[in-house]
Amino acid sequence: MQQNKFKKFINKNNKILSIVILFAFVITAIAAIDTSKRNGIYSKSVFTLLNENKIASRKIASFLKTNYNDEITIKLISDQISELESNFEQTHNIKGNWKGVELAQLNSSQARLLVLYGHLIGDQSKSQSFKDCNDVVCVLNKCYNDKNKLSGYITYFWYLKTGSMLSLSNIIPGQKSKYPGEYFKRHHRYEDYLFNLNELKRFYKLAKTLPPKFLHNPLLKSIHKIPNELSVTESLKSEYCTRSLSTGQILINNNCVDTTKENFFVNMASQMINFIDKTSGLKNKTTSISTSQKWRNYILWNQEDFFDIESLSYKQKWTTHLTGEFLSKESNQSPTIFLRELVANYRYNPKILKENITEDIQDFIAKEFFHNQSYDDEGLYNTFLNQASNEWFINEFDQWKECTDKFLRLELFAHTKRNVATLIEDPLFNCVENKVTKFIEQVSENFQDNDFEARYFFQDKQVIPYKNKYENNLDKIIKENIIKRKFELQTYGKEVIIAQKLKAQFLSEYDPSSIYIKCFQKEFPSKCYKSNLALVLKKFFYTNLKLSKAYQKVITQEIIDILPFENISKNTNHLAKNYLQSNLLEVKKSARELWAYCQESSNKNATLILPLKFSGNKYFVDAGLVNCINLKLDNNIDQLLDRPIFIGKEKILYLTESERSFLSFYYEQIYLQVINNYLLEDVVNEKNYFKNYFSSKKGDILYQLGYYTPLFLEEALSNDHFQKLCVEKVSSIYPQNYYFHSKTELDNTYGRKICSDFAKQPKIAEKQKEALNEKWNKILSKLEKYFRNEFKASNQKCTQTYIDGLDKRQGLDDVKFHCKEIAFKKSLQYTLEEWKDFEEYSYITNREETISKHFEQIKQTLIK
Amino acid sequence: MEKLRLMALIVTVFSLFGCDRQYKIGKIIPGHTNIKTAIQLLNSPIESKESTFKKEATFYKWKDINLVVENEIVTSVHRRPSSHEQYLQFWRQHYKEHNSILKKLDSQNLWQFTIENKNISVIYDENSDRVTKVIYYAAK
Repeated sequence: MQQNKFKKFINKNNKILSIVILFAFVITAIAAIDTSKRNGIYSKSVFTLLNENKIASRKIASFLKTNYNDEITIKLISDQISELESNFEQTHNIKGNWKGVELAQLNSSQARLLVLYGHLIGDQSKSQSFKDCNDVVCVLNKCYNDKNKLSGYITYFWYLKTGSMLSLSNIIPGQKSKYPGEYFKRHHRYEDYLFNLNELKRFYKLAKTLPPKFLHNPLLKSIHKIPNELSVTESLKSEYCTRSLSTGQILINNNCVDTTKENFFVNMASQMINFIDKTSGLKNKTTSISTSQKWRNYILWNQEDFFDIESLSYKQKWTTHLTGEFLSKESNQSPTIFLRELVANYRYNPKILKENITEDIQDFIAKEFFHNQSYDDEGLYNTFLNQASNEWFINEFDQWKECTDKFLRLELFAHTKRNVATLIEDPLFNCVENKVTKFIEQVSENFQDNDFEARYFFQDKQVIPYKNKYENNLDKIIKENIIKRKFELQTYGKEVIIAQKLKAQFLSEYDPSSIYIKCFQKEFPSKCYKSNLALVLKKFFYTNLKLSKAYQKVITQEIIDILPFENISKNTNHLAKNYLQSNLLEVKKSARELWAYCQESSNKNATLILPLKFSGNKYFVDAGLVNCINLKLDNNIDQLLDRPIFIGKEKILYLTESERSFLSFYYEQIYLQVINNYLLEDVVNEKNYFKNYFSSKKGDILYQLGYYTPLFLEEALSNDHFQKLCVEKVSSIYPQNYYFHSKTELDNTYGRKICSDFAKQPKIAEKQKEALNEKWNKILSKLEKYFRNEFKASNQKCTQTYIDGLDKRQGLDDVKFHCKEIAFKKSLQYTLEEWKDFEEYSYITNREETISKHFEQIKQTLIK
Repeated sequence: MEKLRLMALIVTVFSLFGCDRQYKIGKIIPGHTNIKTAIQLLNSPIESKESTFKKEATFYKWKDINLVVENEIVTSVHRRPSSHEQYLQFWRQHYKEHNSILKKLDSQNLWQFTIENKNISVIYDENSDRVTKVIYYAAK
């Protein structure tokens, strides 16, 4: 019945149904086409699209001839700056004026630097104008007062290269004084806070030699010089010359940055690793690599604990058979410091590290921090050999093209394999082989272009054996590849040429970073990447139906080898930086608004909701405030990710799911760090506020407490009780809005001190003493009454017992004396027990001895 | 359905084992428990040796807990924090009515947070923003 009704319905509404279905199909097709444009075969990540839409020229300056000594010239560094600036989005809508500099007139990199790090530029104790400057370098040079002008260039170069800022401010993060230029209770000149030119040159070299993972870490914000060789920790004197703060700063003093010392690179890298350790660990779902069980399993360090009950101090000691004698003595203090120093030495003392540390640990470090690249001579050999051979494989079509245009003959494809030997002297292959030597020279020269490692490798006498090995093996690899092509030409014919052209086309058009982003948070990202890339290639070749399946397989593997996962993953920070940099201001704004909103809606009675992303670090933070931040954090980050991206003036894009997932990790770290910076600021502000508040109000409070004195005297049962009553009264006039102190802390820090001062006033102290003595006397008389009753009863009972069972040999007087002694002891015991039931007992402690002494005094009268 | 029941049973059994261990650790009271009793509760330690900090003290190590012993009596218990205990904020809020002290330990960004009247101390690592150790100690 139902079926018939349905059939009738269909037949009746045939036409309408057809139209509906067709309409649905069309809509779906449009959506699919639109999606495929963003996610199709040639999909590019948002980051690549941003890069492509630069206003500035993409012309790379890397083929310039450079000085092969370490001379840094303004021309050299400004060319490098132009190259780096071209990596950033160049359109911006940053408006406003920074100390006389119109931001709209600067390029985006410079405008962003001033907005993000303007608070780290200049003498903070006076107002300055830079209206004569039309770029950031001028601003920086004015601060340095550098006539050579190189200091400003190097500082700006450091910012572009690493994403962090060399501070030009005379405020040290976390310093005790609120005044700029005051550190360790001493006043310092502004110049004492600035890196000098020689020191900056070291930073330049550091920037040039840092591996990709060290660059543009979202957590590292700035580097500060501690003036006049003072300690890097103001609260306790530290023998170490660098220190990193969880809020994103590195502090460094002269002992590390002095150009006569060799430990600058290792020390700086060691501190930067703190931030990389954390971000790498978070990606692996732990808090950091150095605290992970995985790292502990490698190094087999054992921890011994101790707690000193006298001083209430915890002590720990790490014991291990595995140490690095070439490392600092600090490295033995924890697995974290040990890892930090190993990683820094892996980069800057690779030979020494290799000689002293086991291979499995080296491999672990190489994988986690260096994308399996090493920096000793053998490592450099491997690196340059891989890069050079990859360069050939990428540009193979171009290398062959000139020769194929000149010499390619169709008869070539008619020969069988047995006749290969006769082809060796074919002019086509000779032509290509003749290019190899020039290629090797050119690529080696390109490597050396402003690369310290390459110059060392290709020029230093120490490395000649490896250099020769590199040249020989590169020559071999390329010529083997040429022979391989010869065989392929025999087997597959002209599709080999077609395949090479397609390969070149694919490599120039396709951006593998979109696959990397898709696989970023998968369990096995490398495997995911390879299989997805193979799939993309399959689709690519399918649309270009010119290759046989067999050769398609060959060329697919070639392309996968040219685009290895490690090379793409090296650029993780680089991929995200453009997008992140352009949105840092938005992050700051969003974080500031969230912070303000949550302070207004905090709740003193709230219970902490776990788990926490924002935890308040080591500070007490109002639970309501913590809960509010954590509840709203994800939503705020989603809103940031929802923002459209403008490519040029017209094109608007939104992030794909995998791009959002990739970026949300970075956003969260940056967002939390910004929040933590606000936290630190406000903790200090609140502390200072309370200091001033109680200092200014103390007189009033003491005056008011005078009115309550009779009440205190009436109720207080001890000095402590008096204090407690007083503190309760003082706390009723605490300020209402505070977030970073518990009430107990305020009581202990301010309430008790005020009450202690109040109680010490002579008149109050005297009255208090009188009142307490009077109360105590009353208590004693109550206890005495109880005691006497007990004594009487006990004595009577004892005496009667003896009289009843009297041994006629004993005298009655002896019995009476003996019973009184027993009765006294028992009564005293009962009285002390009874005292514990008194209401006053909890307020008046340790009086048992006093009570006992009192009754000892009346003992003689009782026993007589 | 059978599989679900089996899984539920397995999870329950493992939970009980886990709870059992925590229960036994909870029975060790610094200043009162004898080391022999502790070993009976926790089984044999992985390591025991004279403390490098105090000659009279002995250090006992298990996988999840360490004890320091003097004159046969446990003086301090050191264990890892559970999931909610790894935030210093948890400890600050939980004991906000009590006096507490936060002090820096050496140069490693380690801090010690002590609630004196509860004889509890926790060690906080500022680098990782996590509590790494919970310590119960004997009263003076």
